[in-house]
Order: sequence, then structure tokens, then C-alpha cells
Amino acid sequence: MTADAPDKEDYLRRFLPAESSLRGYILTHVGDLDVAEDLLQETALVLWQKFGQYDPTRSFLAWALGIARLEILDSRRRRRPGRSLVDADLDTLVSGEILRLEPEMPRQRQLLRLCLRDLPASMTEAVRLRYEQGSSLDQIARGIGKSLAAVKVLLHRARISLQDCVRLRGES
Amino acid sequence: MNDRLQDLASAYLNGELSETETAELRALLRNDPQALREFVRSMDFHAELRKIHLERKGTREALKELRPRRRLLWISAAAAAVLVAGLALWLRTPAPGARLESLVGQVRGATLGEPIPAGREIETVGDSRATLVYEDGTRVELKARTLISDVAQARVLLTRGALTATVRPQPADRPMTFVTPQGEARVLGTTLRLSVEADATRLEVTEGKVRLTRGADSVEVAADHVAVASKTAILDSKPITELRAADLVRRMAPNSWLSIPGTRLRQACPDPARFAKLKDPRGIIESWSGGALDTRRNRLVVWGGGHVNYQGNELYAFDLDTLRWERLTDPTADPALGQQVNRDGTPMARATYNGLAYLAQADRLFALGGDLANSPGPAADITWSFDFGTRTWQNRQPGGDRPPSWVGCTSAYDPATRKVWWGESRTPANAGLFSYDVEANRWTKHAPDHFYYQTSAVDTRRGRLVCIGDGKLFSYDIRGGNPVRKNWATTGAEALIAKGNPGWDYVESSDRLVGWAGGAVQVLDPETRVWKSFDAPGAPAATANGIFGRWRYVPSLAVFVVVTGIDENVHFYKPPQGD
Repeated sequence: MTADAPDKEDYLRRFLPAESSLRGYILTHVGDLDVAEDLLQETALVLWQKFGQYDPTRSFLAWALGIARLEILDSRRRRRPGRSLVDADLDTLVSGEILRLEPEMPRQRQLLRLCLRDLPASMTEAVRLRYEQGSSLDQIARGIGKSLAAVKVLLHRARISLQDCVRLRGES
Repeated sequence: MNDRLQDLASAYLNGELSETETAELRALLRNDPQALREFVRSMDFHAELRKIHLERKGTREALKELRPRRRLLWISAAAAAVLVAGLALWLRTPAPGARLESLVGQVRGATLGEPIPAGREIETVGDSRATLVYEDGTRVELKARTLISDVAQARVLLTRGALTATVRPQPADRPMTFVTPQGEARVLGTTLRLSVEADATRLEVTEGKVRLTRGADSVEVAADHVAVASKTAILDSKPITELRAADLVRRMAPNSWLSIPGTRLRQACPDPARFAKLKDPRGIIESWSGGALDTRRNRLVVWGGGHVNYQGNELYAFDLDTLRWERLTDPTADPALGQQVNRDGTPMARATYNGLAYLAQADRLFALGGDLANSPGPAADITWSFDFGTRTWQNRQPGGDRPPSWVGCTSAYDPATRKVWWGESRTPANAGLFSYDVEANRWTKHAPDHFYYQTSAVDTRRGRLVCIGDGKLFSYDIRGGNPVRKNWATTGAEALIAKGNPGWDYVESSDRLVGWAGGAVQVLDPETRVWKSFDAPGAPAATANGIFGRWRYVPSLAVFVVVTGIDENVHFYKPPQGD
């Protein structure tokens, strides 16, 4: 590393706490877990490449959201033309909301990890296939031997259950 | 999140949002700040679920899953060494910070001497112990059956079990943080012990100060102080020596378990070097042995061993106020194996089965039957009582029609009749329902019957002895003139009924019979004969040979107490309200 190279430790110290918010932001834009994961990787690389331009007096997350926004637009131009759910006006609202929620979200995410352990076994496999394997609903239905409608209901209930658990633990 | 927004969010992630619905969702997010907030939270929630599951797959598997384009990305990143190093954590390679320094037993998720990968769950198996050491010298010792994850530079997520940490001084703006289901402990540099139970986090501080936070509340915990964070209580800090069961129970949620830290019976066992010939003390619990609740002193009395197992005959009591074990007697060092009575006049060690009861009016422990140490041997047919005041045993030498007594018998004390009701197992010809009149010191046989591997409890409202186990559920009216057996037909709790020697007790305040033999707690309404099942995380593993009288309802605390092994913490179970 040269003397002018960005500080790796400093980058990690700022990037890691922002990573989850970035992933959520990208997912809000693209609505697809796999695509969001790809874009997060690309964004992380660009963030590192441009880290020397980052003004440490500003919020790292705000800066990173701006970079991610550009990556999303670029990706859409290259891969997924068509109107997005989140246009420029709505993006401003979404970004602002993410920054407002930033202080409380780490706790929420920790609670989610805990709640995941309490998820009924009947839901665990469907959730695993969806979020670990990235399986489509059809694939999950075949994998666990249920109808597509049943899988939708199962995942819906799992999400509700997890969200309720996070809320209840958060209130305690 | 309202239902419509939930539906739209799900459809969005499933790729099923129509043009019309897209417009509807967009308008909703623009015009309704609450909807916007909930939607952003929802996307973060899904993204985090994805992250958690990717982490679980581990570095190697995650890389295998990368599609070709991602692989290229990885390779291009690898071309720049600095960049790779910079993204190492993010790509789930080992994190800087902690490594597994020492291990006694087995640990999952970490390798001795190796750094701890980010996001990896680490679990000590059984009684294993493990020590993590950070680069700054901070040490985290994981106790038995402990699960942690998210071991980052200065953070540990403790999900289950207990740990002790000696934390080196930390930067004021980046304290070491221990996150538990109930709160966070922020440490600038100190020694602490942290344990997680079903619904409570207990923090003990040995040196320095720690801030324990639960939601908006926080408390500073100083040296030699303890604080407990749970759903139901205000955070406070108090000297370690003053912690009482009532404080813990008050913080328990209904239908929850609590493993009481530091309450393994082994700590009260005699010096194994001095009593080595008595064999393995685990037999105190595991060798078909039970207990009784001393309601005067509020403690669970445990006695057991015998058969081919432990040969010590000492008594133990777990004080339900101070949460401490006490050995009430020392074992007879040279037991007269093959005899019922030792040379010092004490009873031979035995598997006590359900042959123990607390005689409230006499303030004595009743003991009969069981399987003597070094069996096969004589039947344990002496009726014993133990005086808690003088800590001495007495051979009662009662009159009347005495039960022959054997293994697998059952007993329960009825405060109304002031009798011990005894279900005898020995040979059908001699078996039956007996009662022991404590004051008259006399046995009476009431009815021929065959009891075996049942646990019994007295329904004090109706005056019934209710017996369960080995596939049977039946009762006797013990306050009428002539007790007659009535078999109960119920639906549910089949597994509990099928077990031999389950835990079983009657709760007068709620008018319920409550059984447990591992897993869910089963609650029976004796009026309607309808079962309810209550599953809650945190239940201990049941003792293989039965729970016997070691599952008791404690009226003063409104919880059940259970002891399942000498190397297991004592557990409380708080029943649901109304049950």
C-alpha cells in the first residue's frame, strides 16, 4: 500500500456498519434478492475504489447510498430496462428514511437473528431455501412437496412471525 | 405494517407486482410516511435475512454458490491485494479480532488456534469450554452449552448459555458490546460474567463497571453487583449476594423456562477424593431417584443413587430463596452393602423412585422403598423419616398392614388426611393402595392394585390421588370411606402418560395437574379432563429414567422447580396465567 492509499482499516470500520443498510436500500430498488446481492458486491468495490474521495466529515452511509444509487441506475441501463418502483423523487424519500432509521436498525437486525432461531420448524426449511439458496417459489414448492399457494402462505406467515418477534423483543 | 402494504411488499419481492400495483405501491410510499417507513424496514428485514443465511453457509459454500459473473468479480478483486484485504470481512473470510485459544471438549464453528470467521456461530458442545482471545488481549471464556455468533472486532452476540469476559481497556467511543436477547452490555474494560436464560440476561460484574441496556432503560453495574434484564422488570443493579429467587421469577414471562445460573448440584457433592469408593455421584439423580418439597423451609430435597450406581446416602436441599445447594448430611463412608441399614444407623443409599414425601405436619422427610445400592439385595421395606432439625434418620417401625415395598412404587402426602398415600408395586398379590398415618405411625391397606412407574399427586381441592405414567392415568378418592380406582380417559398428552415416572404435581391455586417429562409442559384441568400443551424454549433435557418428585410446584414463587442432573442447573418453569 502506498502512503496515499486509503486506509483499509478505516474503510472497513465505516463500510461494515453500513453494509446492511446498503443491502436493504438496493433491495428496495430492485426487489430481487439475488440482483441486490450482485449489486451490493459491485457497490462495495466502487466504494473502495472511491474511498479516497470520501469526506470523513460526512455520513459514510449517505455517501455510500449515493454511490449505490449510481450503480443501480447503471445496472438498470445495462440489464433491466423498464420503469422502476423507485424513481428519483421516491429515492430521495427512501434514502432519507434509511438515514433516519440508521441508529435503530442494528438492534433490529440482531433481534432478527435471535428470532430466526425460534421460528417453527415447519417454516424454517422454506425460509432457508428462499434466503440461503435463493430458490424461486416454484423451486421451494417442489423442494418441500407443497403447492405454490401453500409456499406463499408459509413464507408470508414466517415473515409475519419474524417481524412480530422482532417487534415484541424490541418492546421488551 | 398494514395488510395491503404487506401484500404489495411480498408481491414486489416475488416479482409478481403488476403495473397497477406498482403504481399503487409507489403512490402509497410517496404519500404515507408511515408506509414508507414500514416498507424500508421490510426491505431491510428481507435483506438481512438473506445476509444471515449467506453467512450460515460459510465462506467456502458461499463461494461455490457464486455465479460466474460473481466469480469474475472475486478474481478481479483478488488481483488487487489491498482490495481483497479490504473486502475480506465482507466476503466472509476470517475476521481480524478473535481466535480460539484453548478448548476443553468440543466446539462447533471454530478451530483451535485459528481466527474466528465473521458471522460464524460458535457453540460449545455439552460440558465443553472454550476461550477466545482478541488481538488486544481481551478474553472471552465460553461456558458449557453456549452459543455465540457475530464475533466482530468488539462485539459478541450471546444467544444461549454463559460466558465470562476479561475485557482490556477499550476506546471510549467503541466499547466492547455483548448483545443478548434481552439487552446489551457495554464494557470499557472490566471482568464480567454474562448468561442468557430463556427470557432473562444475567450480568455479574467482578471488576470495573458495565452498562447494561434494555430498550430505553440502562443501568450501570459496578463490581460485585448483578443485574438482570428481562421483559417484565425494571432494570436495577444489586449486590451479587442479595439476589433472590423472587427477583428472578418476577422477571420471568408466563410459559417460560429459566436455567438458574450456578446451581449445579455437583458443587455441593462431597470431595470425590475422600469418597471415591462410593462411585459416580451422577447416580444421585440419574439412578431412578426423586425428591420432595420442604414447604416449611422452601427447598427441594433430593436423595438418590443406589442400584449399581452411586453408593453415597447423603441428602441434598436446594434452597428456593437463596438459590443455593446444601448437603444436609455427609455420606456414610463405609456403607454396609447388602443391608438396609448402615452401621451408623442411617439408611442404605438407594434409587429412591417416588418413595419420598415431605410430611408437613411433622416437618419430616418420609422415605420408603426403592432399589438399594449394590443391588440385587433385600427389599427396602423400612419406613424412614428424616428430622431436618437434628439432621438424623429414624426407623419408624410402624404398625399395621405395611406395604412390602419395591422398585417403581409411588407416594404423595395429603395434608388433609395427614397421610402418605402409597401405591405399591411388589407382586400383584401384595401390591395395592396403602396409606401411612404419620401421627399414629400405622399403615393401612385400602385396595388391591398394581402400581408401577407412576408418579402421583394429591388434588387437594377434590381429595383425589391422581397417578400418571407407564401408559396409565387414574385416580383414587382418598377422602371418602373406601378408595376406588377410576381410570381417566383423556385426549392429548399421550407421550407424557406413556413415560415412566414423569414429573407430576397439582397446583391448587389454578386447579391444574401439571406434568413434564421433557419437551412441552402438559396441563390437565381435573374438572374438564382437558389437556393443554405448552411448549417453550429453554427446557432442560429430561433425565432418562424419569423425573419423579424432582418436579415440584413452589407455591411461594408460583413456579415449578426441576432438577435433571447434578451437572445441570436447576430450572424454573413459570406456567401460563390461568394455567
